[in-house]
Amino acid sequence: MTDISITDQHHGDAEVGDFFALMKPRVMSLAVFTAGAGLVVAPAPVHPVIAFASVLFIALGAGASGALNMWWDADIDAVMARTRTRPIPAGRIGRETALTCGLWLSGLSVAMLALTANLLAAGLLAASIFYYVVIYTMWLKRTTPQNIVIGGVAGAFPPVIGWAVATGSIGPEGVLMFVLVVIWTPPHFWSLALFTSGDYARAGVPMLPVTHGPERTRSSILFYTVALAPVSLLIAFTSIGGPAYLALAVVLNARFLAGAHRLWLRRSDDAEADGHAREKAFFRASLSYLFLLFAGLILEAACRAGGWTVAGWPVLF
Amino acid sequence: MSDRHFRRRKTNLAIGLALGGFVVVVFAVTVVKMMGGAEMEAYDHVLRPSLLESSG
Repeated sequence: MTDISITDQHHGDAEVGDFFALMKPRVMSLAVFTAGAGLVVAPAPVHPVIAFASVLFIALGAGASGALNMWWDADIDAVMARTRTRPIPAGRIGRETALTCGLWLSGLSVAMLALTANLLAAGLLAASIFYYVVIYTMWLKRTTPQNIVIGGVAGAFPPVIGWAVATGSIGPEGVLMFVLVVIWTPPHFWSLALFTSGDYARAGVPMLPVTHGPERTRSSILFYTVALAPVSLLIAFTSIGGPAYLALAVVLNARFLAGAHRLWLRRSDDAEADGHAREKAFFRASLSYLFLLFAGLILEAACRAGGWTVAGWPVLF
Repeated sequence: MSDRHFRRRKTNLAIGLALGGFVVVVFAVTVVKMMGGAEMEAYDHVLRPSLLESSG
């Protein structure tokens, strides 16, 4: 063997970590957590091996979406400071390799989830990959400032897929978890966009702060944060909710609403002056908000399993 | 061994481990699916006590 084949390659040898980074591990971890939560809180018990394998294949599907997103967005990733060290713009992985990885992982994850769980779960996983890659990445992201409002649907699939793995259906609880993530996505992403809007402007991505300015973005964040509260509180009065979740949801919503209100009162000059400290804090708070809400649902499931339930707790549906 | 070969070896090892892990997961899922939560008794050459007529 000679080194000719190696030196002829346009891109440097990718390391394992580069392929892992190609799958957007942060997005994947959120998908794993919410899918796992959807599976755990569902009323039907699932064998631990089936549960583990299902979450693994959901994670692979999310990773495949990430790889296909990086394949398509390689040009704008190279322009943005936040993304220019990703494997493709940094030259460690070629675009064709990313495309191949993404397509193979998509097919593998959907087929394996169908065999491991059921066709509904696999169909939802396929739909989430299609939605994220084709509807959001290829179409909406570069054409409308409402990109992440409509595109947020893609990230809302995992808890419903987890629920479908356990029950073989979707159900009102699954729909509410889905709506929760859809409405949570705009405040989460727009708070990020407020302190990276220069990046998006350079890349020509019409994010709301770029097209309508930071003031309009702050109002929109407040609007969606207000809309988020009733949905998250309503879940307390379904079969997966309960008093512990309700208490947690009240505290988290109060904190999140206060943060959105403070953000709304801000002027751009103040934000520039302190390096967008409050926007960054709100972005971090949005992550803990969703994480803790789903953790609350898992806690309720544990209470039900242990027989610690409140008699007469109102369950609307 | 050059740095490039070392990195390639590390990648190959990771791919090997991932494939091995995949085989283990598929095998475990297959066993769980086939057993359906209960012990299996195959129609093979092993004595199956459950098929024996009771002595009474």
